[in-house]
Amino acid sequence: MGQEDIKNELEKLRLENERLRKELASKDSNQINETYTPNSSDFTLDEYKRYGRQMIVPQVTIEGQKKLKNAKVLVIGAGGLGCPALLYLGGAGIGKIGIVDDDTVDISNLHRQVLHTTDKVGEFKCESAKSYINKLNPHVEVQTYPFRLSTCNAFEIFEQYDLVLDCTDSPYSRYLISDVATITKIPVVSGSGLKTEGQLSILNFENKGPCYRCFYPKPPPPNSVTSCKDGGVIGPVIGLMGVMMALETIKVIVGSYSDGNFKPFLSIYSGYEQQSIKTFKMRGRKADCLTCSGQITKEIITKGDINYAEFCGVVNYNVLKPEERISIEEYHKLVESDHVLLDVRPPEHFQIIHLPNSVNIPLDRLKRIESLENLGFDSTKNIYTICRFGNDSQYASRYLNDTFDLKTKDISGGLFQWSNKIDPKFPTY
Amino acid sequence: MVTIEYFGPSKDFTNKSIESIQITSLLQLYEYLEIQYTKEFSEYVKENCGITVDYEYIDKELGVEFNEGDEICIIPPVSSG
Repeated sequence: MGQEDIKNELEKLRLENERLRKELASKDSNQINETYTPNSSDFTLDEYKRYGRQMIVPQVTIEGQKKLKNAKVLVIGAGGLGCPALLYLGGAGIGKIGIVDDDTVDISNLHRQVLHTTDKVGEFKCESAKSYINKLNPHVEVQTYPFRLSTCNAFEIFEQYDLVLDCTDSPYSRYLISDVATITKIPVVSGSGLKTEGQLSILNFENKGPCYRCFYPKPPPPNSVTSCKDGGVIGPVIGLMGVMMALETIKVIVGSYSDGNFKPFLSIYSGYEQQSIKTFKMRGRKADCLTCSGQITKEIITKGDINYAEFCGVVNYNVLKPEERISIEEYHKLVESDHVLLDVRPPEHFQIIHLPNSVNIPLDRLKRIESLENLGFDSTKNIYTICRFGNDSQYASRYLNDTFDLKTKDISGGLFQWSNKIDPKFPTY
Repeated sequence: MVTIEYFGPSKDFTNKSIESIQITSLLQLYEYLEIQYTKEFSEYVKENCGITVDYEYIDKELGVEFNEGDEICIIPPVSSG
């Protein structure tokens, strides 16, 4: 050992000695504070660390975190709204999360349903969501319900939860969820989104309403109801709505809203032109609301006395006589003949893919054409109408045949069947 | 003049999101929508949509009068998600 090494060793020992003396001194004067209070029955060390960043926010605090841990939340629909909502609710440490969805993951879901991955295509969405949440946060208990919510099973499920998120996609489920939650006396955090816009609301807060029927007493006519499949939706738009739903859920559970400060509202998020959120005030329950006034009861619903499907209506697509329609195979034989193929889809659809030599007049524009000359094609030829699935094309043929006394025929099953039966290389979307 | 702002599916009928028109009551709004657009749209707004004046829902059953400069919004149900 050289002189230098001995010097270093000495210095090290001197520093250690100093540290130990200080420690002893502070122990003597009782300055070590026993800050760790053993209320650890509430949280594990992992949970303290995991939730620390949200517990130090005054709006949440450790008391709020305990409420989240004790909360039981039901998410109906694990799609465009449900996925982002579930991600944040799982991360936030909700004690128990139930997920109802009978649908399986499809590749067309993945641009917006962010917790499903390509390798989960074909699996139940609720199971895919469960495996993701389990990996994200092992402290959350996840219960899955891989079947459709119905008048028969809704009460049994709802009664096990404190709050429900409506992340569904049809008027049928919107009315059913609102009715059952109102009768079960639990609040609904409700969101929806289409194209570039979304809506957000809290229904039946503290059983003072309003409920979905207070906002929309009459279901919209079925032909005005557009789904994401038909109308499209931009991923971040529906994603934002789901994230906003997660925050409203946290606020309700933590107790940020009270009877005194809660003002019933409906917010609309617009993604275009400039992003904006507008919030509209609602007075409260409507005096003549069938659910809030108690006219719709658990017995009435479970007995099946309300036919939700009928109440919301179905679109009647049988508007043509058999001789006004042809099959995709029949049309395939006529492709080379001199005819007009009228594609009635919206222009954005037509742009993605269309059959060669087809003419595009979207159904809504077609219905505004009042004279034969303005059709823009030779109406003396044989005319065939086509669309994506063969629904709108029936309305197009009905309109043309009635208004202009033509003999157009619609092609059954549309471009979907063309891809399915004639040309497998023709893209579907 | 009042401004009318259309949200969601109601824009499919109007092809615009906002316009200023000269009306003074809810009844006149329904009439305007029928003449300018279609009877179907007017009925849709009357039966199925929420209507707000200055960001507050109105009770459509009551005869509502509008004031100069009111901001009226048409809020249709959107069920998809």
